[in-house]
Amino acid sequence: MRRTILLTAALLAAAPSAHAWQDTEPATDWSALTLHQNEWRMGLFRGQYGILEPLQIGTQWLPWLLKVPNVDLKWTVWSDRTWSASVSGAFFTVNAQDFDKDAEDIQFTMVPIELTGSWRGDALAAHLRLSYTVVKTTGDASVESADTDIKGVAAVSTGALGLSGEWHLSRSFALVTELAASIYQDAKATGESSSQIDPRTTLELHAGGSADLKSGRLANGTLSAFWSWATFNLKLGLGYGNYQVPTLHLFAGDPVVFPDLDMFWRF
Amino acid sequence: MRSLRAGVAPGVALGAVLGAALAMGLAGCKGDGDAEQPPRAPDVTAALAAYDAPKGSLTADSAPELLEALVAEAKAFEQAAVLFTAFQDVIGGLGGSSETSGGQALRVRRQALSGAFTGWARIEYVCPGLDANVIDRGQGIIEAFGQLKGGKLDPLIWGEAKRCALPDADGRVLRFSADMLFETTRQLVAFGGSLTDADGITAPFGLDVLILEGGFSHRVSLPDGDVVLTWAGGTDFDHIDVEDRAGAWSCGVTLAPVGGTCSGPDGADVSF
Repeated sequence: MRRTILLTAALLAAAPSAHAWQDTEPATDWSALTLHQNEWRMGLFRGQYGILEPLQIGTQWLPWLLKVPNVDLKWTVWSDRTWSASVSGAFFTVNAQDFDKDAEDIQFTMVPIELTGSWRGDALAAHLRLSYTVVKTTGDASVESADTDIKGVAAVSTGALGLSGEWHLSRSFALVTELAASIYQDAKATGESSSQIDPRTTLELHAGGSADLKSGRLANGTLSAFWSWATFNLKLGLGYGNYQVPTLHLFAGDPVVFPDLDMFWRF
Repeated sequence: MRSLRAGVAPGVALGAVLGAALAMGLAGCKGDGDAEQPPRAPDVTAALAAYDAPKGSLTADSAPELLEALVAEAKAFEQAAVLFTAFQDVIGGLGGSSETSGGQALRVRRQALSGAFTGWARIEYVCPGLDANVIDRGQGIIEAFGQLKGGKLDPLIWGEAKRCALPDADGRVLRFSADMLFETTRQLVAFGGSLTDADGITAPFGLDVLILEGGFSHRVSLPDGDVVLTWAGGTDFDHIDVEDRAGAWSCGVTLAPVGGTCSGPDGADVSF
């Protein structure tokens, strides 16, 4: 217990070498701000680089492990000391044949787009984020059998609203809360099928449909402790709510308690 | 201490990159969920209105004309019955009957696309000619279309017989080249095109009828508009009900010679 208290006190203490991150190295993950030019952010889940002062490029590691190339860009379109706004977009793509050579030639493409507005005070900051994501397939998913041939394409789109808050308790420590709620999420599909009903008769169906994937209120929230030292940053917290597929902003399942963990280096 | 970044100048390239990403995201919605459009469905509004509100008048002068027109079309009714029987089989494949394999096929698709979906169906039937055991596209085809709205088949089914060879009651082949439609709510059947008989003679072929419980209604054009004749079916024309602009008439008729008496809506009688 004593060890825990000491560790907590050490983590909360403002080390002399700590970044004044709330001033010069503001958080970029949930805010409208970007890395500085030529600044790197290398972390557990993603790597980013400041191409220009207002523009950063990045990628997520986990999708690469799943053979999903991805890149994201974030542009702070306007900023002063208090207010800032950004637009960001990403691109993920994968082909089913990357996993199975015998699979159909279906390309999945995911494009998340976010608009973020930030307000930063002396010890507090708030960020509002509007997200839109579309996942689309190109190429035909095809199922063929002796008397049936089914082809189709599909798309999923989601919209979500996010609100983040920072409370700077010291120069190296802040409490961060993030709330996210689904605005809408739906799926659309078109399909064709051809069936040989009998030797004389062939039936073709050309159908398109949509389904509302949002049932009831879908949201989650996290409360995390965030440490930012000279280069190393650590975020630990807990969340509660519907599981949210990262980047896609697709909410699913019943509300659960989930951990929030991230660590990265900025240099 | 580095100051928080100041306002930034938007670069053209930067805008282009993000604009492209935005455009792609927005374009992602286009076309998804919208099935390819089918051929345009025919408009049956006027045909149904003609049955609902006939504009012609039954008179002593027009009554024989009506009856003669009906007798003249008797053969067309028999020929239409041949084509309609085949068309009904095709429609069964569109899901009209849950007992048909086609109906099952449609139900399977509905389950696969649960939820409200729209689209259309096309069914192609290879006509049998005189040999039901041979599949030969040279015997012509019937092509039928139906629209799917909210997961259900629209009541209007239409299509075309393309040189479709079908046997008549006497076992002779008839070749139909005709547009056709079936409005299932009102049971309106219409054909229009040409028919080549067993002797190779091609003639215009066309009529429309409403299929009723135990009979048919058929509109006949008179100089002042259509009237609707209803009878028990087939060529049994002993008793015919006539609907004209004034109301309903009940007619007892003979064909040889053509004559009869019709009792009108206001107790008026017309003899001819």
